[in-house]
Amino acid sequence: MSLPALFQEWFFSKGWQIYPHQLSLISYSKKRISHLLIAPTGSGKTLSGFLPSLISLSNRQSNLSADTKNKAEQTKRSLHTLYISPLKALAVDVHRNLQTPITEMGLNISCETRTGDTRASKRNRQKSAPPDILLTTPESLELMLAWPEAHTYFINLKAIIIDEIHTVIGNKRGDLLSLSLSSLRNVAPDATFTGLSATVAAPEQIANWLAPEADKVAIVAPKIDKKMELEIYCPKINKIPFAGHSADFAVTDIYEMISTHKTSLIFVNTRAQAEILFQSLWKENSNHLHIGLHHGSLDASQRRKVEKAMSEGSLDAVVATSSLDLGIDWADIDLVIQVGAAKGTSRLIQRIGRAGHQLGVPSKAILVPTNRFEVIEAVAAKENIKKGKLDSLHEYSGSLDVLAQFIVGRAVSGAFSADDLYQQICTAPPYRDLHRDIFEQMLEFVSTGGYALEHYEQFRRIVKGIDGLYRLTNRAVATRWRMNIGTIVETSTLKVRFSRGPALGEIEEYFIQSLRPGDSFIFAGRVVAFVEIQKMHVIVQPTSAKEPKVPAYAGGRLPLTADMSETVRHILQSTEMHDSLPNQVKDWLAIQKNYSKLPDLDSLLVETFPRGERYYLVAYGFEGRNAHQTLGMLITRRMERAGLKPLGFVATDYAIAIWSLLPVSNPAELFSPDILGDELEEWMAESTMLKRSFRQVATISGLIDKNIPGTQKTGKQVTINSDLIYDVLRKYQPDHILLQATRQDSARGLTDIHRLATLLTRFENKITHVALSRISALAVPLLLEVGRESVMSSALETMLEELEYDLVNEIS
Amino acid sequence: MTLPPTDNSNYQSHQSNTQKAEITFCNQKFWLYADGSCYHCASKTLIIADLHLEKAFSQSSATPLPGYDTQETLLRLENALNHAIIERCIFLGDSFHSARVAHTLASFYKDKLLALTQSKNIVWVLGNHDPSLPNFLEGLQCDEFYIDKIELRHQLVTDSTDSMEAPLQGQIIGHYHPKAKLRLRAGSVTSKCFILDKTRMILPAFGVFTGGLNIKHMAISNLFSHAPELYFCHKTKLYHIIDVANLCK
Repeated sequence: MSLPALFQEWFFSKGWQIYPHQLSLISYSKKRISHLLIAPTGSGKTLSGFLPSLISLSNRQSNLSADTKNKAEQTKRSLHTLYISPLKALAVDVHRNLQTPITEMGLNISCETRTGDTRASKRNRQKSAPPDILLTTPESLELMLAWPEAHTYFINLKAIIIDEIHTVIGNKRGDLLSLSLSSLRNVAPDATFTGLSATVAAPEQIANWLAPEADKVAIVAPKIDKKMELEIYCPKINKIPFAGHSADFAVTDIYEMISTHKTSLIFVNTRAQAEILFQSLWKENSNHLHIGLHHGSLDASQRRKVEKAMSEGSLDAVVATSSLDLGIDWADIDLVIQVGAAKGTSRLIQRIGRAGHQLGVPSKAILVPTNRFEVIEAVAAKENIKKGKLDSLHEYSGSLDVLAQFIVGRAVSGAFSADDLYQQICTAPPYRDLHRDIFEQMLEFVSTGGYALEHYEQFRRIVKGIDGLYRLTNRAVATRWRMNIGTIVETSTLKVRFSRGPALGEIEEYFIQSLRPGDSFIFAGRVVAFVEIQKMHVIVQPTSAKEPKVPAYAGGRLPLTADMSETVRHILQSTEMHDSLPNQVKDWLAIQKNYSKLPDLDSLLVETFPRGERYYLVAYGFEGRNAHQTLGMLITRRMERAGLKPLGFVATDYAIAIWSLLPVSNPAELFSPDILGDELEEWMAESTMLKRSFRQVATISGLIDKNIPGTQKTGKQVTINSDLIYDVLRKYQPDHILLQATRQDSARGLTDIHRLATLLTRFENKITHVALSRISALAVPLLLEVGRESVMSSALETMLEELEYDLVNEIS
Repeated sequence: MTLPPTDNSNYQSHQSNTQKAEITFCNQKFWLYADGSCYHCASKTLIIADLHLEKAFSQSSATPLPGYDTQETLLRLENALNHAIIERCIFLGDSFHSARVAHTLASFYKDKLLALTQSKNIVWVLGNHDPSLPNFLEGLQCDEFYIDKIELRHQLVTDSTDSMEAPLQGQIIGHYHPKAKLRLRAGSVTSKCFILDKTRMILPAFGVFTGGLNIKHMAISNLFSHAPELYFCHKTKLYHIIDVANLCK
C-alpha cells in the first residue's frame, strides 16, 4: 500500500514517516472493511482515522479538475465523512488540527463542526450545503437523523469515524450512539466504520460494539512500546495520612516537582480536590510560576483560556480533573502528577500518556497517594501497568430509557413499521438480545404511557395507520423530544458570578442549598462568600477569609475497578511485595498482620471489636464504594431485624464499617447471598437512591422534562416531582416498564448490585471472622472517615425527629 | 451516616392516623390535618383545596403520566372525610385539573366521587383550572363562600391591588400550593404546609400530583403583612413552625 505523491511529500516535509498502522487503515478503507484502531495517545491516532478520507477526497478533487470543471457539480457536495466525538471540546480541537494537513497540502476539502454550540444560521447552511467532513457529537447526530430528509443527506456518506470509542461503551450515551449508528447503517449503506480507541484489555469487545457482525471488523493494534517512567511519591518527613483525600502533606514536594519540570499536568479525582490543591499550590508559589485550573464546573470560556495558554506553553502547571482526560494534544507536557488514586488502570494510562505525548518520548509520571490505602492502590496500578493488565468491560445490555427516547426520535423522522424498527434496534449491539415483548411495551409506553388503565386510548401519540405504519399524531411531541434529547441528566446547576462581572462557572444546586449567606467556599480558584441566589445565578463576593468555612463539594468520584481491586488484594496477601511499599505503610501492614489478619484473595475478612460504647464490624470487600454502600444498607437492615441495634455505617472503596449497640457474634449469617432476594427488593422500594435512578429514567425516557437551565419555575407553573410518580407507579403498577428500567439501572451505577452479588457469592461460606478486643490497624482509616461523609437524605427522618425536640413545639 | 427508621410510612397515607392541630383563626376554632385538609368546628365543615383530579391526563405533548393520581387522591379524600363528623364539604377550587377532564371523567371515578360526597352538603368553589364544572356534580358552584364572616375563595380577585392587603374579616384561599423547605442540621426537607397570619390562611394542595411553590416566593410572601406561621405537613405528621425566617429557606 503506498501513499499518493502529494501525501508522501507532505509527510516528508514534516520529517515524519508514515506508520504501518496508518497504511493498514488506508488499505481497509479502500476495501470498504470497517476497522478498529487500538493505540495509545500520541500515536497519530486521529490523523490515522482521517487519512483515508483525505486521500479519497483529494482524488475526487483531481478527477474533478480533469473534468470539464463543472462548477455546479463541484459546489453540490454531499457529506463524505462523519466524525463523532464524545466531547464537544475534542471535536473543536480535531477540527483545528485537521486544518494543518488540509492547508499545507492545498486540499479543497471543507471541514466543519456541528455541536450544541453551533449557531443556528450555520446549522441551517450545513443542512442545505453539507461540508465534506462534519465533526459532531452523539446528541447532534441523533437530532440530524430525525430530519425527514436524513435519507438523502447521508446517502453518499463514505466514512464514519468514532473517536475515543472506549469511553462510550457500557453507558447510556453509548447506547444512544449505538442506536443512532443502526439508523445510519440504514441511510448510509456504503459507509465504512472506523473506531479509534485507547488501549483496552479486550479489543474484541469494542469491535463487537462497533458493528453487528464483529468478525467483519478488522482490528489494528500496533505494538507501540510507549516508555513510561512511573514513580510513587513518598514524603521524606511528613506522615502519609491514614484517611481522607487531602494532598496538603505533599504540597511542598509537588511544588518542587513542577518547579523542576517545564510543564506539568496535575490530575486529581474531584473538583473539590482540584480547587483545594490549586489554592495550596498558590500559597507555596514563591517562584511566581504560572499555575492554572481546569475542571468541569468552570465556565467554558475560562476553560478555553486555560487550554489556550497551555497549548501556547505559557503555563507551568495545570491542576485538572477528568475534564482533561481525553484527546486534546499538548506535546510539551513533560510531567504528569496523579494526586490520589486513579481508581482504574486504563484511566491512569490515559492520563500518563498526556506527558511526552509524542512517540519515542517516554511519559514521566509521579503518583501521589493521599492516604495509606491509596499507597497500596498506587503500587497495584504500577503492577498492572507493568504486566499490561488493563480494566475489562463487563457484559452490558442496553438501557430501556434510552430505547424509549430513540423510538420517539424515529417517530419524529417519519412513519415506521414496528417490525422494521425492532429488527433495526436488534442490530445495535447493546440491544441484540432485546425481547420483542419489551420492545412492544416500550412502543406502548411511548404512545400512551403504557398504563393498565383503559381510558388512555385517547392519548395515543403514535398511531398505526391502515398501511400498518406508525405515525406521530402530535407535532408538539417532536419539539419536546428535541429539547430533551441526550442521556446526561445533570443535577440542576446554577451559574456562579460576582454581582458585577462574568460567570465564574457552575455549581450544583444541592451544594448551594446547604449554605447560608456569608458562608465562604472555594470556587474557581478563590475563596468566595455566598451572598444570595438571584434567578438562576449564585451571587458571591470576594472575601478576605483565607480558609473557606465550608470545605467543598464532592462530585465526580468513581469507584475502584474490579481488576484494580484484585491486584490490591493480591498485594495485601503477598507479604514479599510489602518490601516495595514505603516504610510507614509497610509497618502499618505488619501491625495488622500481627494483631489481626491481612485480607487475601480467598476469603472475606471480617473484624469485630468494641470501641467506646459501641460494637464495630469491619468487612474488607474491596468492591468499590457504591457496592459497599448498598451492602451497608442491607446488612444494617438485617442487624436491625436481629435486634443488634445498628447505629450507622461508613463505606469506602475498600471496606465498610458498621457500628451497633450490641455485638455481632456470627457475621457469616449477615453476609449470606440470600440477602440479595426479598430484602434487596424491600430496600429498593424505600431507597432514595432508587428514586434518584427513577428520576433519571423518567427524564431520559421523556416522561418528565429535563431541567433546562435558565428557565425558572414561575408562581403559576407547578411541576410534578418524579418521587410522587415513582410512589404511585410502584403502588398501582409495579411491573411498569419504567420500573423495570429502574431496576435494570440499579444493577450498576449508584447501587452497583452487580458487583455486590459477585462479592457475596464468591465468598459464600468463606468468611474469615477475627474477633478483636480493640481496633485493628486497617480499620483506623475507616473510622476516621466517620463523620466526614455527609448524611444522606434518608437520614432526614431522624433529623425531623430531632427537630421535634430541638426546634419547634410539637403539637400533641 | 445515621440510619433512618425502618418504617414504611410512605404507603400508609390513606390510613386514619393523620395528625391534627387545633388553631384559632379569626376567633373561630379550626382543626388542621397533616393531609392538608382544614375543619371548621362550629359548622362541621371540611375545607379542601386544589385536588387537581385527572392531572395526569391533562398533558398533551408529553408522555402521559400514570393516571393513578385520581385514584390515590380519591383514597385520600375518603380518608379525610372520616376525620370528624362532617356535614359540609367545601372544595376550594382547582378540584379538577381542567374543565375538559372534569367533563370526561371516567365513570368509575365519577361513581366513586358521588358516593363520597353523598349525604353531605357540597360546595364547589371555582378555580382558575376549573372555571366551570359539569352538572353531574351535586352541590353549589360559586366563586366565593362565607363561613361566619370569613371569606373562602380559590385565589385573590385578579388585577386588584387592594386584595393584596390583609382582608378585614379573614380569608381562606388555596391556589398557591404552599410548600416550605426547612433547614435542619443534616440538610433540608421540603413538604407542603399551611401558612397563615391573623387574617389570611392559605391551604396546601390536597391532590397527589401537585407540586408546590416555596413560601419564600414573592407571590406568597407578599400576601402576608405580619410574620406568618406555618403548619408543616410531613407524611402523617404536622409541625408548628413559628420562626419561619430562620428555619425556612
